Amino acid sequence: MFRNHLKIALRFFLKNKLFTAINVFGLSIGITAFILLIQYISFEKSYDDFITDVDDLYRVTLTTNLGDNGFVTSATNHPTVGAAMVADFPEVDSYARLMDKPIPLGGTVHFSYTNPLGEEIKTSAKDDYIYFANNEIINLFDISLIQGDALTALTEPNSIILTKKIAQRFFGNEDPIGKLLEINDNFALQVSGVFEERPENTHLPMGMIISFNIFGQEGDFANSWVWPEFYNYVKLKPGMDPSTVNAKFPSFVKKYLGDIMNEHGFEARMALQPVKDIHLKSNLLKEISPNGSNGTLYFLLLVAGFIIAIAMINFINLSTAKSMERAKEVGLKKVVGANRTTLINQFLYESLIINFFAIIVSFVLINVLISSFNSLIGFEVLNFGMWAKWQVWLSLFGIFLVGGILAGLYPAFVLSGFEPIEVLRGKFHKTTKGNALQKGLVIAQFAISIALISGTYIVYNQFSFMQNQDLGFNSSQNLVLAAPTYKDSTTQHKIETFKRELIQNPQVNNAALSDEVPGSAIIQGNTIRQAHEQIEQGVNANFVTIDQDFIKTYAINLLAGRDFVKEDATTMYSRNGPIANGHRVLINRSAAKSLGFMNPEHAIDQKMIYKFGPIDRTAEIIGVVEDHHQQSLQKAYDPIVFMNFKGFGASYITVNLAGDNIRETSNQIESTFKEFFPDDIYNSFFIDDYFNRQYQADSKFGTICLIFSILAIFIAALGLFGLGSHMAMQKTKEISVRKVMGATVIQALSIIPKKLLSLVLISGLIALPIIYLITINWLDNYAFKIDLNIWMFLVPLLIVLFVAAISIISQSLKSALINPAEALRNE
Amino acid sequence: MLLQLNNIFKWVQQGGQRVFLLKDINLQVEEGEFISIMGPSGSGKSTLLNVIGMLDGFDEGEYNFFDEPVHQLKEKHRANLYKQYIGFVFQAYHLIDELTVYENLEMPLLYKKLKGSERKAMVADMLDRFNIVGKKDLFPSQLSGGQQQLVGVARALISKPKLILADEPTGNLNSQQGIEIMELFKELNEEGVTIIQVTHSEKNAQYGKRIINLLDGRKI
Repeated sequence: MFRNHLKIALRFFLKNKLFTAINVFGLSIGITAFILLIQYISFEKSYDDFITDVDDLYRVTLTTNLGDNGFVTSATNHPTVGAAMVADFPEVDSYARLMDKPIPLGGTVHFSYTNPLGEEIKTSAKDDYIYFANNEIINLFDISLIQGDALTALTEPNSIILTKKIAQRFFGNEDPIGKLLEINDNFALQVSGVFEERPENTHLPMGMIISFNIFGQEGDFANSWVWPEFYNYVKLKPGMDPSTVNAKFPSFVKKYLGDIMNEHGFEARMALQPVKDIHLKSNLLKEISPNGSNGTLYFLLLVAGFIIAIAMINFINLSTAKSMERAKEVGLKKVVGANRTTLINQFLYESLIINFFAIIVSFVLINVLISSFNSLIGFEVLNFGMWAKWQVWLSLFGIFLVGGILAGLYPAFVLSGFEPIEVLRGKFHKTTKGNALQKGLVIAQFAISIALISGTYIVYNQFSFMQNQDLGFNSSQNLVLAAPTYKDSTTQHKIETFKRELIQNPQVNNAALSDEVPGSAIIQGNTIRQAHEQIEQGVNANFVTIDQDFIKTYAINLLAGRDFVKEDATTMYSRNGPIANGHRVLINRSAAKSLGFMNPEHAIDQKMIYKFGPIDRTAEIIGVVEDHHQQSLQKAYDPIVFMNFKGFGASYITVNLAGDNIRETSNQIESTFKEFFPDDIYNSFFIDDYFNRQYQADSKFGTICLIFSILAIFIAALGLFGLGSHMAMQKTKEISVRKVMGATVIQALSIIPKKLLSLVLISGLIALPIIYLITINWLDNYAFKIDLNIWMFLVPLLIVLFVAAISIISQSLKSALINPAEALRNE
Repeated sequence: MLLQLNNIFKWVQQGGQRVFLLKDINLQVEEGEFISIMGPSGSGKSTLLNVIGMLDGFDEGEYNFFDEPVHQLKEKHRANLYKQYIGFVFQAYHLIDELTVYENLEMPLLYKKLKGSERKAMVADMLDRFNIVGKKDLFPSQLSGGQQQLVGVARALISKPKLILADEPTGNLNSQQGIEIMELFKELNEEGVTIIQVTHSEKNAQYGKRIINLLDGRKI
C-alpha cells in the first residue's frame, strides 16, 4: 500500500512541478530560518551556563535614590560587600570582587614586555578585558588554568594571569610564568598563570586579571563603604535559597551604610541577582558588558514561529486548492473499495514526503549559511559541530513530523471527504465549507506580513532617526587621540606643548583636552546643589574635566554666560590638601534645571556645591551650555558639570580638522605625536565612528529583523502566487461570464483585487493594533524617539496588497485572456 | 438581414491532420427569426453558436453582422458589436455565485457604463417582467434550476439585444421547467427578438420557426 501511495505521490509531484516547488522551497526556507533563529536564541540563553556552579552564583546589586531620578540600581557595589557578607551570612560560601580597568588605569593602557634579546613588545590593551580581582574569581567563574596554581595565582600583590592567546602575543613560545609585564611603563606585574580562552557566551569576558592586592593598604578597600564602583559576586552554599539572603539585606545595609545614609539623606538597598539572568534580564547602571534582551529574543522567537507558520499555511492552502484536481482519483478509489482512513493516510504521507524534501533542502541551506549567519550575529553561534548534537536532529525530526502532520491533516480530510457519486458524475461542485478556513489562513498570513513589515519599518525609522539627529556637538572631522600615559610631572607640560604644536598646523582648527569624549557613559559624578541648600537636596550630576578649548572644539552652544578662558583653571589640590573654594564651572541645561534654576540666565554667577571625593567644593557657575548627547539617543540627556582644573590628567586630545585632506593631516598628527611621546602607542579614532559604535547592537538587531521579515514576506508571496493560480482557475468561469456580458479584460480582472482588498483590510485590522501596541512599548526604551504616523501602518498594508495583487493578477491574466467559449464550454 | 455566414470553415490540427469542426456553413438569418440548431453530440452545434456569438473565431469564410464584416473587425470592435446586439443564455446558467439575483442582472449594465438610476430602472423592469421581484436578494444557490435559468434569460435580455443565443437552455432543467423557458422564448420572439438555440430535444426544436441540422460540422 505504501509503495502505491509513494508512486502516486511522486507522480503527482512531477506533474505539478510549480506546486511542489513552491511547497518544498517555502517550507525549506521556513525551516532554515526557524533553525537558525532557534540556534541563535539558545546561544543567547546559554550565557554563563558553562560555569559549573552558576546556579549558586549571584551578583550583589546596589539600589540608591541619590538624585532626582528616584531609585536607580547599579551593577556595581562597595568593595567591602562580599567580605562582609561572608562574615555575616552563613549561607554565603565565598565572594569575588572585581574592578574594571579604567578606574585605576584611566583611559589609556598599554603593556610592554622586554624579551631576553632586549626587544620590547608593546601593545595597547584597550580591547583586552582587564580587571583587578581577588583570587576567588578563579574558583567562582571556573577559570581553567593551564599553568599556575588556582589557589594562589592572584594572591601576590603584583601577580597577573592572562589567556593563552594574550600570553602568546607577548611571550611567543617562551614560558610565560614568572615573566614581567609593565603597565604604562610604570609598574611591573609578574605572570603567575595562563588560562584557557573564555567562551564567547559570558557576560564577563576576561583577558587579563591583575591581583586585587596590588592596591595594598593604600586604597583601604577592605573598609571602604563610600565607593560603589566594584562588581561583587558571591557564591551561596549548595541548596541555599537566595531569598533568605535577600531578606537579611535591610539590616545588613543599615549596619554598614546607616551612618552614611543618614548623613547624605539617601536610602540604599541591596539584592542578589542570579548570574544566569545577567545577560538577558539585566539592564542596570554600569553593566560590565552590553547585554542582550529577553524582549528581543521573544520577538525573534515570534518571527521564527511566524516564518514556519507562513510556510505551513502555504502548504495547507495549496494542497486544499489542488484537491479539486484530485477529486476524481479519490472518487475512483472509493468506488473500488478504499476507505477514508486509507485515503487520509495517503495524503498524510504526501505531506510528510514534501516535508522530508524540505528538510533535506534546509539541511543544505543551513550548512551553506553557517558562516554568513555567524558574521551577521557577530558571534560564532553556529558551527558544523552542531550536527553532532542530538537536539538539533530531534528538532529537525520534530519539525518534519509535526509540520508534516499538521499541514497534511486538513487537506487530507477535505480530499478524503469527497463523495464518489458526485465526483464521477462529472458534475462535481466545489464545497464552500473549506473556504472559511482558507480565508482565515490567508488572513493570518497577511496579518503576519503586515505586522512584520510595519514593525521592521518602525524599527528602521527609529534607528535612522537616532543616527541622523543633531547630537548637540560637532561630530564630524573631530579626531580624538588617546592621551599619552602620565609618567612624571613633565608629561602634562609636554601634552600642552604638543597641543600648541598641533594648532600651528594650518589643517587644524582647534584642539582640546578632556577626560571624557562623547560616545560613552561618563565615569565621574556625584551630587550637586545650590550653595544655600542642604546636603539632602543634592541631585546627581556627571563631571567632565575639560580645558578652555573643549566647548569651541566640539561647537557646543553657549546659552548664557561665557566659555572658559585659560585663567579659569583652578588648582585642585594644594600641599595642604584639597582646595574647597574658588572653582569655576560650566553646567549644561539639564544640570541647570536639576539645580532648580528657572532659565539658564538665572544660573550665571551663582554659587553651587558639588561633592568631589569626600569633601564639598564650592564653584561659581560662569556659563550654561546646551545639552549634548553624551550617549546614544536611547539615553536621556545627562546633567553635566564641566570643570577646568590645572594640570588634570586628560585622557583624550580632540583635534578639530579643517579642509578635506583628512588622511594626510592625521598622518602628520601621528608623526608629531610619535616625536613627542616616543614611548607611547598612538591610538586615535574619529568621534563620529566612536559615537556610532553605540548603535552596533541596534543595527544588528535591525538587520536580523529586516532579513527575516523579508523572508517571511517572500514565503507568503510565494504561497499567494500558488494560491493565485488556483484562485484564478476558480475564477475563470466568472471572468469568462463577465467578458461575455461585455466586460473588458481589465474590468474582468478587477474583481480579484476587490476581493483581495477586503482580505487585506481585515488582516490590517487584526495586525495593526497589535503592532501599534508592541512598537509603542518598544519605543519606550528610547529617551529620544520618532513619532508614529499613519503611514507607518498604511504603507505596509499597501505593500502587502500590492504583492498579493501582483502574485494573483499575474496568474489571473491567463484566465482573463483565454477565449470565454473555451472556459464555458464544458460544464 | 441580421446576419449572414458565407462558406465558414473551422478546424483544429490533430496529429498533423485537419479535423473540421465546421465545414462550409452558409446561413442567413433575418430579424425576428427563431432558429433551432440540432444534431448529435459533437456535430458542431455549440461551435456554430459560438462563432455566431463572436466568442470563437473561424478559419475561413465570411461573416457579416448588420452588414459589418465580422471577419475583418478587430477584437475590440467585435466585442462592442456583440455587447450591443447579442445576449447569451447557457445550459449551466453561468450565474455568478457570489452575486445576488439583482446583482447578476445588473452586471451587464455595469459594463455598458449606464448610470445608477438607469440600471436600477432596467433591473426593476426585468424583475417585474419575470415575476422574480421577491427573489432579487437571493443567491443563485438558493434558487431552483428553472429559476436560475429564468434569471439567466433575464440577464441576457436586460441590455435589449437584437439576438439571443441559447446553448441548450433547458438541458439542466426538468420537463416542466423546460416548457416554461421555451414558452418564454416564444413570447420574446413574438415581441421581435431573434433567437437561435441549440437543442437536443425534438420537442424544443419545434418552438423554432426554422430548424438547422448539423452532422460532423456540415449543414444537412
